[in-house]
Amino acid sequence: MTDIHGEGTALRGATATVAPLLSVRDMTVVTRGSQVPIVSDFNLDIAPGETVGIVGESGCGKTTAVLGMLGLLDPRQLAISGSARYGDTDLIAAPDTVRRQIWGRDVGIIYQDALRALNPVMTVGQQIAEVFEAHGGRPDAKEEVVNLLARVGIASPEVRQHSYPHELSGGMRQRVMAAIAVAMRPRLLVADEPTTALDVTIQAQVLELIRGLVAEMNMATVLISHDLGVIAGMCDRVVVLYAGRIVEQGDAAAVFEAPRHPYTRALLRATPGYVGKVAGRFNFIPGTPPAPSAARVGCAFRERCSEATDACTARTPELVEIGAGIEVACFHPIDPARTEDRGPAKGSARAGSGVVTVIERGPAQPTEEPQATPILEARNVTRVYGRRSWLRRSAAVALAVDGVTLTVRAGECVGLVGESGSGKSTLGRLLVGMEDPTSGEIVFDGRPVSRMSGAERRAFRRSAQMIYQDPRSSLNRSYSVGSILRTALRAGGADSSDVDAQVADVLERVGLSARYAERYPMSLSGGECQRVAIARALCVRPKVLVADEAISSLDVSVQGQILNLLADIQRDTGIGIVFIAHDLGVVRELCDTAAVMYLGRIVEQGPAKDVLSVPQHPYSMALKSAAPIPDPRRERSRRRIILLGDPPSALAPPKGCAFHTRCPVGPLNHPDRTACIDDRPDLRSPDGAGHAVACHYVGSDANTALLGQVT
Amino acid sequence: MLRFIVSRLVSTVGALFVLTVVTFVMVRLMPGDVVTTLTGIENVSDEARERITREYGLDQPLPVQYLRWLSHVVQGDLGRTALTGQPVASVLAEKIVPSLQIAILAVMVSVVVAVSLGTLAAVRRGRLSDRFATLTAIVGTSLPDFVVGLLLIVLLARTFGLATFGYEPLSEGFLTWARHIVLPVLALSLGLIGLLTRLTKTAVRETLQQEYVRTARSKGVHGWRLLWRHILRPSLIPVITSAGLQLVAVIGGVVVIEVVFSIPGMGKLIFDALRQRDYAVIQAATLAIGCVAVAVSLLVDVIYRQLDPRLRR
Repeated sequence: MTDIHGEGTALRGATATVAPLLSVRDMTVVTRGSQVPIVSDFNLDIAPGETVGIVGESGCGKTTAVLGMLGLLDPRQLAISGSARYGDTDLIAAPDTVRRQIWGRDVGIIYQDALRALNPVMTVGQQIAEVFEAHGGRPDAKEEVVNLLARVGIASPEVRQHSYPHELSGGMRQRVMAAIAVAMRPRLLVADEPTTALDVTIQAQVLELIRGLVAEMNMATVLISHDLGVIAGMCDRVVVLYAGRIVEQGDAAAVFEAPRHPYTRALLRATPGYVGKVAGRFNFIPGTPPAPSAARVGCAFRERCSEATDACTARTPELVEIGAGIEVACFHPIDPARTEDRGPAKGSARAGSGVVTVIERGPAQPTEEPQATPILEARNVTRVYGRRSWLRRSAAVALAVDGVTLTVRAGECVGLVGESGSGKSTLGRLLVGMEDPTSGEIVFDGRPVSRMSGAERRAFRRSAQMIYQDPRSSLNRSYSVGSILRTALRAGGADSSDVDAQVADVLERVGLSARYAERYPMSLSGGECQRVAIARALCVRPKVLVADEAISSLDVSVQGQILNLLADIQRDTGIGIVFIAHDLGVVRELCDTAAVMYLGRIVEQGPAKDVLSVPQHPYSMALKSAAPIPDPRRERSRRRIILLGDPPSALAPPKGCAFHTRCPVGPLNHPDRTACIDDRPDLRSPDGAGHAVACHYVGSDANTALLGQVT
Repeated sequence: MLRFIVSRLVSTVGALFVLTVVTFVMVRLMPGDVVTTLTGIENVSDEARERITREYGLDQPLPVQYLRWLSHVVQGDLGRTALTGQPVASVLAEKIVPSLQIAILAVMVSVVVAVSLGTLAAVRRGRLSDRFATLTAIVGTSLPDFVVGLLLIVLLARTFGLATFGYEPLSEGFLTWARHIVLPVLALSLGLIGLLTRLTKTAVRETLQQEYVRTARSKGVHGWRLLWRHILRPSLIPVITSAGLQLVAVIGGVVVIEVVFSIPGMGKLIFDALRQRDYAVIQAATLAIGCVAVAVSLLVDVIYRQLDPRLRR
């Protein structure tokens, strides 16, 4: 499972002789009633022991296809045709009495959101034991549950088996899901976005666990993911789905190296954190996937495709083998000999080459040096939640933000990265005045916010705007886009006589036509909603914009659009941007400076390129190492830093350096490093320049060796 | 859990206090002359009126009257009835038995019937059993209790030889007791069945959409195990809450049912006491019902926490 290069073709060859474990033929899934196709003409063979990745944008039918071939779709909502043979059983046609012998015993499933996929009223131990009960039971079920929990990396399993799902962290819940899936040592493991909701560090742990389980039990695996990096690191073979159809499939290394379908290529190039800016712009795929429809003829990707011709409209391309076990459904497959069309080799792709460029504005000018005027500052701010109250004897106190100093200059983009719970969002809310710091000072335009009058405070609140992760829930669905923006414009003191013209103007600034004013948020795509949210923020002419995970809920294909938009706005208006994200690559590419947070404190700070390309703090290194790369060769050959466990609770942060309990070069592995346990390191700049690190052993041999693993 | 129960009990003491104060004031605001009611004579002499007023402490300011009543209650003395002079406590103890029996039985019957019907309707969505359950729910919720009571009397009483009025305690033999209690319980249940069936149906349908039900199926879990552990247990949480709250509302229904079936219970007791301005009885009965309500809501909360581990600490 680890080194696959060169074996890809061998595996394919083996598939021809060894009977496939699961063989799906002509599977089509349509909605009941309206007959809308969700998955069409799906064919797939899964060989024993093989790992198949399924990728595509959200809504392209990945989950439906996989649940369909296992016979797990709700027949009252979806009608399914075709066959999925597992041994002598057709999982699509067989009655439940037969299929349930296979479910859980021969096929194990890890679902995306373990909190919802686990029964909230049963303990995790009961839920694992239930798999045994459903398949005839076993006398040593109790011990086996504990063994399984230990195997998936749950500390003190004897105690934890009595926990309910809500009492576990996200990473632990996903481990429990894995334990349920492999309890009967199945021959096929299905993992549906198993790490999507997790932090990168936890994602790395869970992927490592799945890798280990697959190797140990020699399971065939189907891994669904929208993250090309995850697929690159795990899969022998990759299947690309678009609008419910397979558009390309083949050996993972080959497909990533030289994609043959324009969609695959566009997806690979649209990974903003990895590909980075090309000629000053982030790549993206214009438009959105078409809504599924029964009447549709032709290639579903044609509207977004640069190669499209009349043929693509007239007929639907079929999946045909075009050599080396690669199958493509395209009339104009890309010639692998054209080197400029290769995969996401860094910096080699040209802006928009092969992808329809959206007419927005020309490529950005080279970024000017940020002006030296600080517009918004956090001076040694601390935010405490759950203060001691007279009612309770000992209320828990959490230090969400602990002594952070941060400067945002006009025209500058500041990146904030860290795991969830690191305090980055809290810091964002402090910066825009949605919360007041417990101690320390927020300074806007040279004036401390705490000493502002009511009117000044309101002016400050307008000047610092926030954009949220989920654009849909941050827009009120009962108002039209126009009325949302009009309200915001009036709040910004706009002249009410020409407010409609201003709505059109602000919509244009975010790349939407004036007609959008009449639309409602529910009828917009995620990317469009986020544009509206940005437009609303711009209505009050802010000086600082705090974007809290503003692109993480969007498909990779549209992330680039929003990043370009933010860069344009910054260039045109000279506002300061605080970009909160967990994707280090994006921050490195977008931001001027970056700060890495851990348990409420900044552990590393400096120019974004330095901090995120050559990190000096072990935690930053671990973060960088944990992010998967959409390049199978590099992703599989590199050594990863896998952090132990979850971040400690902010209710009881470790003494000394808060990271010492997980640090790969800390006292865990270097017992002589007692300073980490005793003293809290301050941010110091080893070279005297702008790059500051809070680590006692910055630049030491062990730290440098660790950095060597990352870069 | 114990800490939770204790803290809940402490907070209910306040609620009971407010309840008794409000009743105390409201009863005394009612129009009509107490002395007239007490003596049963239109023209009471001034001397007699003054004597009675003093004897019953009615000349004192309201707060003093209330505090005196309260201090007696705390010592376990609920006073005596105005007309017969019996201790209120023993009258209450006697009358509350049939009312509680009817109410508790009605809730139990309703929960069992409604959960079965509602689950059936949700699982067999759109089929005949779903339609039957839905129809029952609509009929049950829309018909007033007394209409149901009269209908039952007409339809069932003679066929099954059931008593149409009165109450016999259990000590008279189980069959005699049952013969008398079946119809009131049924009459009271039907409305509850309607409400709870609808609730169960919605809850089960929602649970069926939950991802953990799919997880359970994909583990190979099926049949009763799937139904109970993964569908019913999570669905029962809102149903039990509502059933508990209904038990309090049912006490109101009991009053009507007791009138229809001429049962000498709490309903009739309060009804008579109000007409006779029997302050002590009204006060005690309200307190008793308040205690029942508090006990029920506490019980519901305990069951609720038992069913839903997310609420436990």
